[in-house]
Amino acid sequence: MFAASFKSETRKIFTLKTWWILGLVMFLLTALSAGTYGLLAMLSDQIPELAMIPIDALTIYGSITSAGYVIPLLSGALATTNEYRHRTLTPTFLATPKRGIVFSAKLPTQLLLGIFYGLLGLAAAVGLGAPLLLAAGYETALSDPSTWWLFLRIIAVLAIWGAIGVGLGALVKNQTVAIVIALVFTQFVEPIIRTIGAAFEWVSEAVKYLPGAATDAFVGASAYSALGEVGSTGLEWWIAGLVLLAYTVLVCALGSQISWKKDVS
Amino acid sequence: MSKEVTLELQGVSKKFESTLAVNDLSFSVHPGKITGFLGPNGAGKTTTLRILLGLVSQDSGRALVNGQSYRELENPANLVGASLDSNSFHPARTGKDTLMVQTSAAGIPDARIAEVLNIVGLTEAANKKVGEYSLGMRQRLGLASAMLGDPQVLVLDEPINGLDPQGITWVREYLKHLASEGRTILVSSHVLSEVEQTVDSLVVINRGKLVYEGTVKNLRSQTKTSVFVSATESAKLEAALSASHKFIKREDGVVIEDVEPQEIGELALKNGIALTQLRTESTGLEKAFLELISNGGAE
Ligand SMILES: Nc1ncnc2c1ncn2[C@@H]1O[C@H](COP(=O)(O)OP(=O)(O)O)[C@@H](O)[C@H]1O
Ligand SMILES: [Mg+2]
Repeated sequence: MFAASFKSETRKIFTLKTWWILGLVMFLLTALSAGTYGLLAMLSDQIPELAMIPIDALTIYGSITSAGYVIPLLSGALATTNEYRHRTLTPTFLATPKRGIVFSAKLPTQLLLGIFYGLLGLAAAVGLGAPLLLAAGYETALSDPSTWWLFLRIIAVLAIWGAIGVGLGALVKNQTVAIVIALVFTQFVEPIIRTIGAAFEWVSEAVKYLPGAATDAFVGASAYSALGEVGSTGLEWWIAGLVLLAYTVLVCALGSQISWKKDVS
Repeated sequence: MSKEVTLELQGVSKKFESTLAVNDLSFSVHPGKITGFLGPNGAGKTTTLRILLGLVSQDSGRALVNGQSYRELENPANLVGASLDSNSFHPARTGKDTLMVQTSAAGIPDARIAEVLNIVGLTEAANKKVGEYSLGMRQRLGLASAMLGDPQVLVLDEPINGLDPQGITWVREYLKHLASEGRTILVSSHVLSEVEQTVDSLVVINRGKLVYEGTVKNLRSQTKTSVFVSATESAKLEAALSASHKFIKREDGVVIEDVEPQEIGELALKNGIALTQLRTESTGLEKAFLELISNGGAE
């Protein structure tokens, strides 16, 4: 039952264009952010002010997640909201009436897509970032095992965001609303809260637990920790990982137990 | 797996906010026959079918397929095929890809896809996006999807809706063919004349309640036909009729209720009246159906 449902979910993805369009956006986003940091690195010996920004290889590679975690989030949310929007829950639940199986089959497909987006992001960040770093006279750190450990965490966290998207979409139902929530929260709401949080110590303690902050802390190297949050130290990486897992479990439980079980009429 | 699959509702009720869509409904559908599920728009047909197929949860009662609830069935697509909604396809997927999603979920070999597309006449449109399909083509795709598992039972919600006359004839013939193979078919419609020639049995509901369950023949015999008659000497005709019949005057003739044309013909002959027209005004079946669904008033 589960294997059949998983195969069906995979076919749902590869019979539409969304997966590769999002992959392309992921590639371009990361190339843009890695390229920007790479250029800053190159310019830093001419413009002394830039040297204040601690740019290194890990910052560039880590920018994959802060720029790109919205991509698997959207991918996951589309996987569930498409079913409501195009009323395809009818044929889906006719073939697989045990709804929990359908929901749980969407998770591994989005985890795998998250890994795929992570690999694309790495290709862009390393492919563009490493040459720029070399040109600026910096280390690429590619021979350092801790860099590869960073890559693993990047891929893992993007996979997790795919699962969060599945739960969010299932819960919210409305596709437009889900997309707006995903974009507005990740691109505006959380960054603003984090910027404010950096100024007040008591807020910054709570801000650490926000999903984007936990993502950065899990990865351990990102534009945010490089640029903004001077005062805050962020969570331990493994605590941040647990916080993200807790978000995933919460949103998937709500999505699959509330909206997903409603009447399909 | 038993060949004799039945569908059964036992005291099913469902309320949406303030609307009681299905009201203590019980009926069963027997194998090897086509059962028409009729009722005016809003009578609760779609809701009932969705309850039967586990898509909508009833508030009370039981809905059974082969003695089990649909949600408990291990691989339902091989037992029950359903086409409920011609708008339940992703418009950017091709017809073939739409079926590929279904075969994988139900563990049906992909080779079956070409077969069902051929049966419903969509082979040439297989690689077109469903968004470019007409309503009739989407109805055919729904039927193709229902037939993927070669199921013993078919549940179809208004499958004729949106088809051209050719398509309507084709669906009727195809359903008859499927029933002749011993399959159980439940087909809904809000227009009796649409399915009258196709179905063996009728389940009629109005406002969520059962108002008739039985054969078409039985319902037909419940009322007589009314007859329209006109004559060159209309005054003489009316005089002859008034002794024995109640009639309604029209501009060009009269209508007599609950009578067979033969009786009026004989009466005219006896009185030496030359008739210009003598015909059945409305069939007894239609009248009986309208009576069933006007009791309690749908609107
Ligand atoms: N999801 C829903 N929410 C609220 N009311 C509904 C819903 N689905 C159906 N209804 C109402 O229930 C009644 C029966 O509808 P339906 O089963 O679609 O009838 P039919 O298929 O016979 O036209 C109608 O009054 C309809 O408005
Ligand atoms: Mg209906």
